[in-house]
Amino acid sequence: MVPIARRNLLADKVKLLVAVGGVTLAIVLIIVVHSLYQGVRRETDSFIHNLPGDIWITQRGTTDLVFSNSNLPTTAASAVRSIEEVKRVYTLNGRLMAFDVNGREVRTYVMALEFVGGAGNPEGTEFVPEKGTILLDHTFAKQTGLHKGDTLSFGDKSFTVADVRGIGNVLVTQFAFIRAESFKEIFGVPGTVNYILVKVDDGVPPESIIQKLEETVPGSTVYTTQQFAARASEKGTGDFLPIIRVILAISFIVGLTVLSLVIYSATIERAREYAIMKVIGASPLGLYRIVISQSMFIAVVGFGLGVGLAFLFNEVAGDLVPQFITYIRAQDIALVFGITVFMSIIASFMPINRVARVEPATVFRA
Amino acid sequence: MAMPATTETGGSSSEAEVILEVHGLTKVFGSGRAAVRAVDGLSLSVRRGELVLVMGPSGSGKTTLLTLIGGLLRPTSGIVRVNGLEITSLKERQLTKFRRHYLGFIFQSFNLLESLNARENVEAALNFAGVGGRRARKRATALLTDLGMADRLRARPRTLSGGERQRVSIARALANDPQLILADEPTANLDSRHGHEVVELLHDITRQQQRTIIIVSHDHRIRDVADRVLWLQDGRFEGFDEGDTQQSALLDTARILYGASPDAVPPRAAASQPIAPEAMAPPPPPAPAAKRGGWLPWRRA
Repeated sequence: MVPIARRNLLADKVKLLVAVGGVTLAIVLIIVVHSLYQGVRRETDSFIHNLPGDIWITQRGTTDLVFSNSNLPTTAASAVRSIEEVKRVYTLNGRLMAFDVNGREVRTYVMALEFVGGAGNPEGTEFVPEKGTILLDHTFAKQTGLHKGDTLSFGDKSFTVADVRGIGNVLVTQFAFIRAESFKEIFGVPGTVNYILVKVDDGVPPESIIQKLEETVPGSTVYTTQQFAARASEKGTGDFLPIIRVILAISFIVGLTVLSLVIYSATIERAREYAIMKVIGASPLGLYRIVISQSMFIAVVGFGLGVGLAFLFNEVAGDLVPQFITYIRAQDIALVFGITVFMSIIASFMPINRVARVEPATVFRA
Repeated sequence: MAMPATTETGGSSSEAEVILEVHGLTKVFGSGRAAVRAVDGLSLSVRRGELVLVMGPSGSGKTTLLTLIGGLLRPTSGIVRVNGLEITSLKERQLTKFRRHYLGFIFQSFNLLESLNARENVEAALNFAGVGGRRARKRATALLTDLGMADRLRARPRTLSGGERQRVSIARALANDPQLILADEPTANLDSRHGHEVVELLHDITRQQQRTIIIVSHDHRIRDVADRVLWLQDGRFEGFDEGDTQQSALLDTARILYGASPDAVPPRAAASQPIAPEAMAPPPPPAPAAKRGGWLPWRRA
């Protein structure tokens, strides 16, 4: 079959370039913004999942790690330990902390994980550094220019950077870990912990002991790790979700507008040719297929370029701005492809309507 | 849609097979006092292998007649029957199918698809008729080669001369082996030499392939090859009057331009009044042309 749609598009390369450029821009915007959203969600989620425990015990009303406070009595950890289905218990404390780095004040959310007790070897030892040292998230290290072996000062205390790795980076908050003893020395609120993490016995579903734990620790809210991670992710991204939606809508409209205008003007310009094709026997469906193929061709090329450029943009932006954490999921690419196809179908609507109204008899006009 | 079976176009029909019948065809544009009767009760009958030339001044309804025969416009009243099929009662979809298989169109301004090359233009017509791939390409190539376009297959219309473009247009019109070809001013945009070539070509198509061609034109060169010349005035057929000053002047011009002797212009009816429908009946079937080494001017010995 003669590829009329492709030939028509390639006949006007400038217009094709404008159309593909417009769609590409829209796709890049959609993917980058969405990947930023997913990046923050994933980072929050994975940080919570990386810590030991199947259950999080928080003060009642606590929704997440960063945006709300939680204070529980230290004695609650011992009480929890006595429950039959509980295998191991940890406490987790955290506080936003300002350090002095070369005369500049930098902030990071410092946490301290402590194994309270229980059977078997404790998990999460990678989050427990030696005394006088600190583990830094690589985003924070990159921002501040700190490296392994450097020193951070907090009042009269100083910490040597024990390691720099991906610990946790949620938009403007990066996590760091120090030893529980150091944390107590600095912030020292005797008798309280922020969170209690519980590892249940093998084969015990975490949900099954939630009620028992809430009864054991009055004034608490108990979450499974999945529940707490989901809430924290939602809380962390919920505030800027409406903004993201607006940007996504604008991107979609930009892509749709450019695509529609180009396909429509291409159809108007070739109205006589559509009339010729009608005269020589093209079916209406065949003509609509040409219009949709043109739109689809632009959309798919724009999509391909857009995906490639979005990956490239995220890579470069992530290098230049460390807080710019993105995550492109396969299902999001599929979703954007669906949006692209939808865009091309919508963009074809008016041109198809125009083609349907083309009078074949007009070809006899000289 | 019950389409009549395709008939072989290569040989001559021994019977006077009527390909086109038009009865009381009327097309009125507008309404009330602004109504214009572009075609006014025309009747016509055309046989297989006949070349009919419809002449007339601008606005006389020539092109409207062609579009009505081609099923591109719906008549206000009257019937058009092609190969026994009454096309005036067909639905849009059926008309498309009918045009695809039974009609070929040749236009004054060629009407080629600019983004396609010569071969693809012909191939597209075949594709629309359901012929695809290698078969379509082979047929398009053969048609264009027959028309002397073998070395211009991949040329875009804008790089072709007027004569070449019209040859591509003719090849496209022949692509689906139609029985009836409608040509609207096929020589109007061509210079004398190319115009002459196209006239010869159309003539040979009727003679050698026994196709029926209806040409609407101002070009008096076509009179030389037409089996019949119909004069259309205000939407009605009228007799062609050699005595008419204006017509005589045109004929003289034609003779001077193309070097035809007065004898070369066939004598025409002298009646100047509208002629009776029976006069529009086709003449006896034309005799098959003598073997001249092929049906195309480029292939003659």
